[in-house]
Amino acid sequence: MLTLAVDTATAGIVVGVVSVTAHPHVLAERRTHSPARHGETVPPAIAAVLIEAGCTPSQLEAVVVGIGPGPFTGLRVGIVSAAAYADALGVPVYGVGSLDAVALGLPEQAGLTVVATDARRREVYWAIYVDGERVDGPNVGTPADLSDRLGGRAADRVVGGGAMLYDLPGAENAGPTAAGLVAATGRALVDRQPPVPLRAAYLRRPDAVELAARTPAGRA
Amino acid sequence: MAETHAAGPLILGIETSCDETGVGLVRGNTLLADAVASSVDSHVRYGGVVPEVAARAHLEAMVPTVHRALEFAGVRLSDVDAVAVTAGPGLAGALLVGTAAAKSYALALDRPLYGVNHLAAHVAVDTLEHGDLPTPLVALLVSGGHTSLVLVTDIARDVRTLGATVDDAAGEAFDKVARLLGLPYPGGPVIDRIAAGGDPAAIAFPRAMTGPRDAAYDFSFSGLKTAVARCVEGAERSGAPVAIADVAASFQEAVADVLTRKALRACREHGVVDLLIGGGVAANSRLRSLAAQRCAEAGVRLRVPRAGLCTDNGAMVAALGARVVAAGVRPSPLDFATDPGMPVERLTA
Ligand SMILES: [Zn+2]
Repeated sequence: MLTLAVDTATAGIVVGVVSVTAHPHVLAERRTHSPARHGETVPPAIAAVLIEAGCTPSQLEAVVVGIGPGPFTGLRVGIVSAAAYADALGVPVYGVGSLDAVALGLPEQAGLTVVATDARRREVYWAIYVDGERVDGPNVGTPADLSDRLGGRAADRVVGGGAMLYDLPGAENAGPTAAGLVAATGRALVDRQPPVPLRAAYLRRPDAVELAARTPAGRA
Repeated sequence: MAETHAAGPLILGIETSCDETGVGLVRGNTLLADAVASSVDSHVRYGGVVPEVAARAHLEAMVPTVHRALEFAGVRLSDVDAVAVTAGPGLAGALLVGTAAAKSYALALDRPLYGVNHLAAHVAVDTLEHGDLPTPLVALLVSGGHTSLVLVTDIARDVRTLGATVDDAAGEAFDKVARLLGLPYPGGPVIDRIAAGGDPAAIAFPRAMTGPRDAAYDFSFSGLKTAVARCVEGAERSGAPVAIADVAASFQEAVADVLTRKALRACREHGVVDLLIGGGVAANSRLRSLAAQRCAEAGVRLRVPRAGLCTDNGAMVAALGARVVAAGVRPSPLDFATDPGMPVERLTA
């Protein structure tokens, strides 16, 4: 089953075509470091990976997309691109956690894995995995919050742009991958289960002050 | 509607420049569907459009709204011949949702994509109600996000700005004045309603930028808002009840007076005999009646689309798309960037 995989939850946009079987095989993948230009980068990347994979849109049978957490504006580009693309083709679209797509794309899953991506404002989006299973998160907080949560446990690997940025012990760079996105669907994709509706994992509320909460500062 | 049969390519139009997720389907001058999902209710408690709230709502409404439009028109996505989408001006995060969706639809369907100008779309939408646009044409575009006076020579190729607001948009002034009067957001409809029971000559509010040395076609509404605030404060200080209906009527009169005065001056000075008013504020009853009266006096023909087409919607984008396709303008590249400050001179991306 040919599947298009998209993630825009980090500055490293990933778009790939994966042949999904019991042992998924990535046919083409593009990773572009393009902060704040997701809208210009994703559509041509989709066109390019299809050519590279030697397939036409009509051969795709599913779309997988990272639903975050990630900086909102870029995140939405991937989600709405995937949703519209799947809709146009009449194929299902599966949303998966973007941190899961990082963890499950790593060559080694055994032991304790920490994924931390850049959440800006001196915070990280993070999740903790044991043997490839998420046991905590996704969450957003300071690097110190994350260490508290680890409570002295030594991670076998600490990955992600947030881990690198805040120089967490043992930090290595890794981002979402096409293989990780597909792996994060679990059985849903291979078993062709009906997908749940896409919803972005923002983890933060919009910055806005409700009128009722504003101090009555007069009318000027 | 004089339209008898629809011909020409089927255009899917997507609009997400502010707080309305709009999807329209248009063939030639014929409107086939106009589905709008508004997030206005989500903004009420903030007293104005919150960009992040709007962008989140666009994401959730995008695909369902496309399907509402398709179902209404009784067509399928595969019937669509070209995709048009607002490339700007508008809120950056909101524009990105619509353009990303449009790019994906165009790419997956293998159809040409046109990133178009939102302001010009407010003009083009009138083709759906009154047929081909006469040219040249002066258009007054007034809403919560923009206040512009433009000269249209060719809606697909040649539109020029004559003037614009130097501060608040006209619709923004309605919202701010509504808040000063303790009225709910959005302010346009409520002020219009309350003004009906007031005296428009009760208070002589200023007509900004109408002096001989002012830019002939520019507008300013922040001073007017301040004048209303002073008037309300003065009444409160003296212990008298604020004559809300009179304030609303006098404020509305000042806005309608300046807008129509400048629009007709533009017609006169450019030798143009057709004026179009578009944008959400075009729904204002006093603006409509004063414009009708002054146009009649000046021998200018007035076109105002019905209220549902004046507010932001996808049909207007599809309508401009139809004109652009008919004119043979080249499609936009897949990597075109949104332009939150897109000037009206730039009709396509
Ligand atoms: Zn508008």
